[in-house]
Amino acid sequence: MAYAYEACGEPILSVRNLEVSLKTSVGELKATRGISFDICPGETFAIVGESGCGKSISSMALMGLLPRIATARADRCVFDGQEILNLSRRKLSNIRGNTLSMIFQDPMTSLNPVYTIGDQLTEVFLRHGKGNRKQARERAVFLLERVGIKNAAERLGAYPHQLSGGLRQRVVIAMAMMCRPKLIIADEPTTALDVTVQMRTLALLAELQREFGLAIILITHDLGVVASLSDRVAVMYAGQIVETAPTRQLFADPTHPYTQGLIQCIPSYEPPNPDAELHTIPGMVPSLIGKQRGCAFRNRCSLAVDACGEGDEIALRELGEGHAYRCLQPHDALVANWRLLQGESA
Amino acid sequence: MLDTHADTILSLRDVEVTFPLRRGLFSKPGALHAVNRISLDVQRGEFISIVGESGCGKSTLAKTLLGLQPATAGTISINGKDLAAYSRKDLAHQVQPIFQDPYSSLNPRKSVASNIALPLILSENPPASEVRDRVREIMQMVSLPQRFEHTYPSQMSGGQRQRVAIARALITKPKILICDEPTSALDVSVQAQILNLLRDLSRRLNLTSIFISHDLSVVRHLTQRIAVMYLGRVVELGESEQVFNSPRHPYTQLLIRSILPPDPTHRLPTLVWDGGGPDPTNPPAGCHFNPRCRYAVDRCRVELPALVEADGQQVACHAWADPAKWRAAGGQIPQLS
Amino acid sequence: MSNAPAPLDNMDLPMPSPRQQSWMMAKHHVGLQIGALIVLVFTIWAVFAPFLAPADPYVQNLANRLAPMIWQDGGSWDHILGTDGFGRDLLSRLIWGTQVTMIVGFGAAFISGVVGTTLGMLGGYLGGKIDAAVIFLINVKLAMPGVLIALSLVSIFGGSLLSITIILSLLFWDRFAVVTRTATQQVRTREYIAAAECSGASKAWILFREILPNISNQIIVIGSLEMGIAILIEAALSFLGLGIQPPTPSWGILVSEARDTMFFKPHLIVIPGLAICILVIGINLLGDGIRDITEPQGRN
Repeated sequence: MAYAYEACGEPILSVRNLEVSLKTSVGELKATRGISFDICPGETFAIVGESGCGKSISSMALMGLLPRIATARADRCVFDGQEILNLSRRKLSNIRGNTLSMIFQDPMTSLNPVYTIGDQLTEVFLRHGKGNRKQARERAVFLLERVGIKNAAERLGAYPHQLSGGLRQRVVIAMAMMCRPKLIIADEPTTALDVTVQMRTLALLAELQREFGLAIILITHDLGVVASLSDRVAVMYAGQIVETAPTRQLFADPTHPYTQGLIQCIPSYEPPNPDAELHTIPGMVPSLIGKQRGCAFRNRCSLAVDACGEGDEIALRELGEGHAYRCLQPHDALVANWRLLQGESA
Repeated sequence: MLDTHADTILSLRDVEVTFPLRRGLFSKPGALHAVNRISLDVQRGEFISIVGESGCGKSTLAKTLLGLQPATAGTISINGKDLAAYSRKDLAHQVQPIFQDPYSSLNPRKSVASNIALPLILSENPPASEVRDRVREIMQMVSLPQRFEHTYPSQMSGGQRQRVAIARALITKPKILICDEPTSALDVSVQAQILNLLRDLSRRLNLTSIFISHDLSVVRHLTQRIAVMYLGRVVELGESEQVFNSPRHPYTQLLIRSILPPDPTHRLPTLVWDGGGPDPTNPPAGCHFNPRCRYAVDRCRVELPALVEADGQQVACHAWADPAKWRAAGGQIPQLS
Repeated sequence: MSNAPAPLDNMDLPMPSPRQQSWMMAKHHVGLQIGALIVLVFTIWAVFAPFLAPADPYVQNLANRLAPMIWQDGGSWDHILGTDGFGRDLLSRLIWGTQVTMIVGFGAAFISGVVGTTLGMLGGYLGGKIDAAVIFLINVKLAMPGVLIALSLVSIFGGSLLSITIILSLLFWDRFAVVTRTATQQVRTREYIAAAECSGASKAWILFREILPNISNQIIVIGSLEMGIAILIEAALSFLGLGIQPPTPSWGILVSEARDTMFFKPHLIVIPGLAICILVIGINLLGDGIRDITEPQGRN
């Protein structure tokens, strides 16, 4: 299976064919078209893609946070031995914030401005019956210190607006850790932060993960973040996983034309040829309303052939070692295309 | 580089923008120095970028250059004439903006054509047929198909909207384009399209572009010069490649180290948490960067360093003002790695 | 492609146009359709009252007082809804009353809308001292016992159609001002306003060409609400004898005049009462519906 390493053993989260659709005024929008992946304990799994590719909505489906107009179904969606999709509110709230927690993009809106950070940290702990008030406070102080906040005991009485954006995101991370979660879903955790703060926040996440053996689902649009933090990646486009691979493998041998284009689009870190244009992916994401056929990327793909528009979906092809891609072209042709792209930019 | 060059189109001298600040009803009114004594000369046709993190005053500077926010001190001159002496309509032919958020920069109740035509109608008010022709001409220039004329912004994607915003900015044939983070709200693949378009247009039309960004990696590709801002001041200014290859100021070095390359072998640097972004309403004494700087000595906590020339680059750092003396006093010269 | 920009031939419009979207939503919006139908029917009544009314609403016929409705014993086609205590045809009075009621309701909502929107937009856009003055005016208005003042003004200026409309509009401008002021403050921070300022747009241009179209749906919703309330208050004033003066056939007067006979001829009070109720519900449904289908944020 391309969903996980063979060596993984029992996955902490196993998702098969997750489909989320939204009812809109102009018709049904298929936000995801059957996503499957496994998360191993202690690994960081990145889901990368551009806005509207379905990466955020699938994590919201997992957390039971879908808006009312959305419906989700899946063949399987097992977290820690328990089916979690479409669970009742009560059962879900036993898991949420407990063994499964979430970090959102904007630390300002994920903390309640009228409570102190101490109240908010201990509240999660007490709600899940993890101990008494004193233990909650001790854990809060321990975690705040662990995420690098000095004078943690005093800071418990601070309100969110008294902290800078970077510190707030650290509090959010500490809050997600309060009940010793097994899996954290981090949705664009550093997008709202300044670049110098982003790096530190990512380094902190990596440290915490090593120390506590967490699994992290990292949802991001930034391949730089993916490269620096994740073990495995799934690239999403128009509601489908178009390529999945171990991170090093993905950057060394990007196979799907979309992945190749995405990597080439990043303003290069290496000294550029002053007259070279940035690589672009022409066109734009197709509308997801109504029935989809074939490969969603075909109208922007230089390798597209007629067969790309046929059938319900393109099958996932395996390359071994957990690397798989969703394209009709053989691997050789795609490797040649990647060389060509690199030649163009060099 | 502060000498007024023959072909200087935009010149800033000791520009300050200060906002009065009142913390409580009875406390002493303070002041927020959003832009603090900035001097800069921009040559005709130059593509210069201003880089800094949130709260560094780069957006206030953009507003000031657009005439939306008056400078509280100093002078700004465009083509040798003071900014304040321009009428609004003349200024519209000199400077035009491109804003960050293409979802908020277009009027949702107006069609694409009337959004684009607005500056033209306001400043020249030519007959309807000329407006139509010029809108079509400019739409072609930014590669918007003519069939988009009568559509509305809500029907378009972020990249398409940003093209509309660029078309609107160019329709009065301005000399200077102020781009305030024009791609930070866009997806990576679309960002590259817009950056290419901006670079291509500014070359073809010999535009002077001031590109404001929080992301050094974006501007490297585009610009000839980079000014790095920190808490209202320019801390480093130089040729783009020079700033990238031999950044002098510790803050510039930190910004460059913060770029995450798409390379899984690159490990995250282990850094001590330095408290992050400063409070612009209460900047630290001396060099504003000193609490986050690992090279800081006592002098940095007292004396504000001036922007001085060092090998064609300007740096506001005591270590670079006189490296020999600094080393002799036991200081370390800031290094990128 | 060193000089040519990226090819964009395959750029599609991801969404239908705002008008198409509004139309698609309107087709599925039952409340909007019911509201529109009610308002349309009453508007036709009001506009074509001279042609639709079977009889003169002012002609009394004391010999034929309190005639029954057509389906009651003794009813006749001459007076489909029967006659009132002076022998006037109730259906004709109801139809002519529609005209009076809608002129008062629409007029009051329109005048108060113009006054309140102007104040709210000026305060919201200009800020500073002007905003403080607008807030002060709103607070003064909110502190005044509106209906009492309306009653005393009516007793001073008399109950003509014009004076009632103007007095009622004085009661309602504050809500327009509050809502448009907040909406203007939100729209003002949009970057397209800054872009217009950069091109030398005057304050009047920004207010009326850039901001007003973007807050128009809020104004429509408040307008419908206020129109409903104006109709109710006009009826209440007329019922108390302080509104439009008899024999003008306002619906409030119809209810008022039927007081004496309400126990043995209840239809005389129920029919105009129902008419008021249905029209106000219809106006509110229409206003809510228009908000639902035109809100730009609600589109995606």
